[in-house]
Amino acid sequence: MSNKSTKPASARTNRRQVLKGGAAIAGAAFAAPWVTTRARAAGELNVVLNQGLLAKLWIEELHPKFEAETGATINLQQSVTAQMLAMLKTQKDNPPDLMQFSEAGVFFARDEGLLRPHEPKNIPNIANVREAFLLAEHYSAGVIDAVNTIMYNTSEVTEPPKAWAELWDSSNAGRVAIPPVGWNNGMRMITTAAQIATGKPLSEAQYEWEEGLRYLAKLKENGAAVYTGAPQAIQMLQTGQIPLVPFYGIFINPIIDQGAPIAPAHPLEEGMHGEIVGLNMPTNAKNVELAEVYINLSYEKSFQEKIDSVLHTRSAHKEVDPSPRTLELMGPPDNIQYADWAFLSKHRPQITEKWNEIFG
Amino acid sequence: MSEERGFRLVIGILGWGSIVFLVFPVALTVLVSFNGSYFIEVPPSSYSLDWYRNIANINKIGEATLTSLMIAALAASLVTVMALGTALAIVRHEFPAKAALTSFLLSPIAVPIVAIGIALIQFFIRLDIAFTWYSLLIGHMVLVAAYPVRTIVASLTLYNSNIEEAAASLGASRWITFWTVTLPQLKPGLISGFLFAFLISFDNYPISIFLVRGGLTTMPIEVFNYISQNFDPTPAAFSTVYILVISALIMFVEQRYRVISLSIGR
Amino acid sequence: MLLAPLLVFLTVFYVIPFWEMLLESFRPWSNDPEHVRETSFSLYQYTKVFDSSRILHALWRTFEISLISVVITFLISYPVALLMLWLGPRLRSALLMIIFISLAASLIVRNYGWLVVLADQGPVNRIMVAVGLFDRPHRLVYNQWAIIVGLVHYCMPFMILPIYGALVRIPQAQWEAPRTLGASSWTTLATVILPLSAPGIFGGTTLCFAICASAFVTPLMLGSPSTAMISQVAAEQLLMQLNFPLGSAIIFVLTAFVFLLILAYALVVRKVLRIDV
Repeated sequence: MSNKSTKPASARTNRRQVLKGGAAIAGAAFAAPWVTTRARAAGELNVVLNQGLLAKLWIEELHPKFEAETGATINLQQSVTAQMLAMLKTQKDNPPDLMQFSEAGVFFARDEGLLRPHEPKNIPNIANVREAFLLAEHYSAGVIDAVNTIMYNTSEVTEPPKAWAELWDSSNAGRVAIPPVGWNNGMRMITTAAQIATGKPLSEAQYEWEEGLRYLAKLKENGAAVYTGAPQAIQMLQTGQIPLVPFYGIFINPIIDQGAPIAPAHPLEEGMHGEIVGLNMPTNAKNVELAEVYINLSYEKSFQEKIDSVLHTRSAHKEVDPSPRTLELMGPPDNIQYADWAFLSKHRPQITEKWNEIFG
Repeated sequence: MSEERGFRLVIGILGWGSIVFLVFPVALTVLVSFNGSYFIEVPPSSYSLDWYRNIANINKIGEATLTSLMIAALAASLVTVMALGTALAIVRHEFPAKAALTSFLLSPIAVPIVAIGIALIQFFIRLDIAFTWYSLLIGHMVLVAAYPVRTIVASLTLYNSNIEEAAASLGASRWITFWTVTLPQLKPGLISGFLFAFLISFDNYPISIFLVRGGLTTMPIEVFNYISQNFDPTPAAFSTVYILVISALIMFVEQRYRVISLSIGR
Repeated sequence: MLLAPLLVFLTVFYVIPFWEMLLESFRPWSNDPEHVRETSFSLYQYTKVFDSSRILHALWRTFEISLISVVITFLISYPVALLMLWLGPRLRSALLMIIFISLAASLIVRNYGWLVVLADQGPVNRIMVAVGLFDRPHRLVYNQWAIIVGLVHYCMPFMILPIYGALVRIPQAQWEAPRTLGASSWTTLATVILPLSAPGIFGGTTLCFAICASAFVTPLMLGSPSTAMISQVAAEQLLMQLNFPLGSAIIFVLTAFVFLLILAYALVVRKVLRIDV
């Protein structure tokens, strides 16, 4: 029954073609249920990732691997931290399976009953994770460190700052912009201010946030601006309109790579701000096993190495040390300080209110 | 008569000046889309078409745009039709609490969009229809319903019903009167209402972000995601493209159906 | 009845979800640091709203900015509407298209454009300095003025069209009669045309006011935390603090105020100025 017959088109040949076509369609129809059943059996995973490079690495490297290994499809949504908590709360009866946000939100979400803890024994690779990245009694699986420090415009600032305290110098009046209190690095400005005001190390000073706020208020007198979001901050830095702006390395690095006159200031006397971003599981998540596979893959050494080589920030894996370029962009890892977010989250409403009285 | 000319001159200057102001951001967007450098410079120091090539790099931009177009078109059509009935009822009939009702119908505009998103997603989850494209459609309809109501009511209020009475006195049925007399005179309200609803729905981010998940996404969401990670002019290039497409569509409809100039009357 | 479809639709998908929000505004917040555990329903959140200087300031600022924006929008939109009246049909169509197209570009892209244009070293500052109006570049962004520019621009289409719609219904005679009696064009405009176009002005101003009062993206991108408008304050409570009760209360206070203001406006126009809108 060759279709390559050179006989003139006859009813018989046509019928053969129709039969063949029909057989093909019938074959597909028979195959289809198998295909869909397999897909349904393999399942899907609803993941909400952050923006920018925080998500890009996962999308490009991990998702294909995940889908190949498990046969499941990933439904990805991207959002910003500011929206994620609200998403978590409003969708608590039908939540995504995994959400990527930082430790600053984890305690908050946990206390509202919105998160469930991970089961370490289902995530074998967790054995290789640094202490600092194991958060909140396994309520969050820290995968990456979103370090933030003072970014400066290299044309407008000739001597990079060596301490956060320099932001208060009169020579820097009107040249500083700080993050809003709604951003986590905005909260860290308060803890850093407390360090400077009390002279104590972060581990003690962070509890004296009232002192910190009092000291931070001096920045306002010094003409410091407050940015409302990334567009403003980037525009300030890139044009040099306001040349000293604390910001997250992960979001600035791609811009630096594009040739912007921006550089990070490190090390800083009081320490740079570390902020662990983790993968968190909402309470009613449906696809727990798949989520655990996702987390496990995120902890694989080959993936974590890319956090260093591509994102140029601190990796969660014990055996991955910062490469030279990462050291350039991120700075020395021992200069990174982490805060007590359990405490800060609890007091965030009060802190926010007091901050608003000063800057709002 | 030179007094009148002076008057026209002043109004002309003010008017054209305002129009320049109105066009300015769109013109700027187009200009920036040809920026040679990665960073937005005004005026640009060099030119390039790179960003147009880069549009395809916006994640899922094809399906997102299609979704947005579909939702905007459907939402705008549906609310315009519903608004027609409502506007007729408001203007033509007397019933109690009319002023309150009118305010109610217009209130979605005064409510912060974030609130609408939050209220709706909780509601949809309860109804178990969350994250479907028709729930997204409903959300957008709630958002834009007020606009056609306003424009059609405005059209009706200034409407000359004498012609209708004339038609009726000549024996035309209510339905025919409606179709051939009333409706054409309402064109300004209908069309401007539809266009407002379409454009606002197409560009909306706050409602969509709360109502989507996974496969469902809209153009503003993907553009916003892109802007959050890249600070290059690609969104400007993309914006230029769809502005051109929308303008072409409007112009095409104008050519075929003379819709816009008819809608201006006189 | 004709009214039914839209009313039913809005009742189901607008009233009911917001009814839930309204109920929420009477409840206490689970994470309240003051550990208020009132019994289910109370006006606690509303007292918090009126006790909070930040919220009240934001409310006042919102109305201030909205009012200024609406007035400026009106002043620059009326001439455009008049222009459309006088131009030939082709130019008129072109203008109409331009008006709609100004809404077509993404709001985020547009606002980013304002950040660039109004920057210290941006074109506006450079021109103002060159022309001599400024002695040095002024900070035009991260403050009320940038927000007003952004809002005025956004509102223009919603002001021009209702006014134009009203103007177009005014018979030519109304323009000419006063002139034959010796009145100047300006007097004609002020005493005859303006009142006759009142329905359009009323419609345009109320619509623009509602848009400005609930604005979120524009003040976020162009302002600073000290210029936060009420939408942003509500969003802070809803999105970041997850304080849904307080956030809902703020939303309803805003809606009530806007409603009352527009009502008062309508009453003044109808009873005091005796114009039918």
